[in-house]
Amino acid sequence: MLVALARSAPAAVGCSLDDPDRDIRRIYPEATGFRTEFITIKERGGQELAAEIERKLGDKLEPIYETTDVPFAFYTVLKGKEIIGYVHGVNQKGKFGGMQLVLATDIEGKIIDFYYQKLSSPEARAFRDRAFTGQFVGMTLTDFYAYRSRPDSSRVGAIHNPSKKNPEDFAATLRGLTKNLILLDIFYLDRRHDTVPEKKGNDAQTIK
Amino acid sequence: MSLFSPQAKSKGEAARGTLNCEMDIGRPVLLALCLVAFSAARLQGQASILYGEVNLLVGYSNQRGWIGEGNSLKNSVGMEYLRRIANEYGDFLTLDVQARLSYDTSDETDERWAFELHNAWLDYRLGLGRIIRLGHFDTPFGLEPSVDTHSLLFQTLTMQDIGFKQDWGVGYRSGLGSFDYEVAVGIGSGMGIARRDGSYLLSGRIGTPRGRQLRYGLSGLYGRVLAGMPDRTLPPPHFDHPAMLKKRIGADIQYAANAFDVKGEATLGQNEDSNVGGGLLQIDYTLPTLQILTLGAQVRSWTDDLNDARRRYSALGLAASYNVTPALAARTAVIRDIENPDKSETRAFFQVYYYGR
Repeated sequence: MLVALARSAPAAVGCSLDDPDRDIRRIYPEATGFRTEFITIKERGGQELAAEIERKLGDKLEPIYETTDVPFAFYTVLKGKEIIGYVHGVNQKGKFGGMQLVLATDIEGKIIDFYYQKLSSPEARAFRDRAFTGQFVGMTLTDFYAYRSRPDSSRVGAIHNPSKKNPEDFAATLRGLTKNLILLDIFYLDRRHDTVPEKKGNDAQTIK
Repeated sequence: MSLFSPQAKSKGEAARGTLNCEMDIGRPVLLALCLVAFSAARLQGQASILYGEVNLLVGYSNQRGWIGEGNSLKNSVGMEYLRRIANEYGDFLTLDVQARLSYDTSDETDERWAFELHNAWLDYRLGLGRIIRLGHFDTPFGLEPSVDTHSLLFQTLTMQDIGFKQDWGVGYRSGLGSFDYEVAVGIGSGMGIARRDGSYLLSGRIGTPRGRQLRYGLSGLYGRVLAGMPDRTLPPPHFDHPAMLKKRIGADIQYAANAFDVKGEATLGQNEDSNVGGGLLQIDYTLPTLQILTLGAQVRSWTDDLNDARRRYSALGLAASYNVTPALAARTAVIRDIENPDKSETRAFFQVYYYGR
C-alpha cells in the first residue's frame, strides 16, 4: 500500500492514512465503507491551480515537497451508498520534522475531527491533546480565511498556541490545516467557501 | 554467514530442485495474478497509482572487496502499481504489485539477472476493518511488516527469523478492541512460488494500531520453511535444503519522540532442535535544521544456538540518508561485525534510490 511505500521511499507520496479502516470507524461510527481517490494538482489544473492554492493559502507552496505531482489520497466516507463525510491528510513541514495533519469533515466541509498522524516535536503531547485539537471541531475553511483577514476577532484566532517554546509548530499546524481545507474545497466541494466576510465591515469578499 | 547477509550464498554449487514432494504452483499463480490485474483494469470506480523505482547500490567489504549485493538489496529497476476498486458501497478490492528486475554484480554464475516479485497481493474488504489478503505479502511477524525495509540498508531480524520477508498465502486482519491483529497461512517458500518438502508457515501478530507515537506488538510463527538461494521469483530459487521446522515468539516496539525514531525487536524460538534468538535496536535522528538528512545507528545480535557462544553474530551499523528530492535519496551505511564466528567483516555501502512517478 501507499503507506508502505511512504515508509521506505523518500516522501514521493502525499499523506495517506496509516489505518483508514480504524480511523474512519472511530470518527464516523455509522460508516459502512469508504472510497479512495488519488488526486494531484498537476492533473486537476497544473500551475494555474497551484497559483490559485497559493493565493488562497497566502503562502508559496514549498518547491521541493509540495510539488504539483504529489498525489493526495482523499477518502469519501459512506453509509451504505450515502456520502457522510471526507477524510484527508496533508504533509506539513514543522520545526523539528514533518507533520501529518488529518482532517475529517462532514459533507459541507465542517471539521468533525482533527489529529496528527505524525508529529515531531518535544511538545507533541500538548499538540496531540484533545483540549487543543478539539477546538477546531465545527470550523470550516471560512473560519481560516477569516483568520487571515481578521486574526484577532476570528474563531481560529481565539485558539491558543499549546506550545510554550515552539510557536513555529503552531503556525505550521494552521498553515497545514488551511491547505488541507483548500484542497478539499477545490476537489470535492465546488469551491463553496470562496466567499468570506471582508476585512472591514460585513461586505462579502471573494477569495480567488 | 554474515548477520547482515543472512542467506549465505553458494551459487553455482547449489543442488537444484533435488527435494521430493515438489509442487510448482508458480505458473498458475502468476497467471491468476495477470487475470486479476487485467480484470481490475476493466472495472469502473477505481483509483490507481504507478511508481517507478531504481535502486543503485555499491558496496565494499574489507574481506571480499567490491560487493554488489547487501542486506537483501541489489541493483534493480522496478515498479509498484496500486489499484483500488470501488463500487457504490466503497472500496472492496485493492491490488498491489511491486516487481523488480535485479542485477547482482557479485554473482559469479550466469544468473546475475533475476525477476523479483515483492508485493503481489489482493485485499478483499469484508467490511470496515475486516480484510482478507491473498498473494505474496509480508509475513505478520515482528517489526518488518510495519517498517518495510525493502529499499533500506538497515534491515530487521526477519531474514534471520524466517529466511525471507514475504510469503505466498492468505491472510486476514482486523481489530480487537484497541489492538489490530493479522494472521496468515503461507506455503513457506519466500519469493519462489513453489511448495516443497511439506513446507508451510503459520504466523500472526497483534499490536497497537499504526500512527501512534508508541507502538508495540507481540507475534509468533510456526512452520516448515524453505530457504531459497537466492530469494527471487525467476529463475526459480535453488531449494537445496529440506524445509526447516521453525518456531518463534517475538516482541517489537517503535517510539517516535521529537526528531528521534526508535525501533526494537526481540525474538526467541527454535530451528529444529536448536534454540535460537536475537535482538535489535535502531535509533534514527532527523536533523531539525535540515529535515532532509537522517542519521541512524543500529545494533543487532543473533545466535543460531543459545547454548553455543561460538554461533553468535553481532554487528553495529551507522547510516545516513539524504533526500535530494522527494523522489530521490542518497544513502550510505557502514556495518561492522562485533562478533562473527566465521570472519569479522566491515562493509560500506552507498545507495542511490529513486521512487517516483
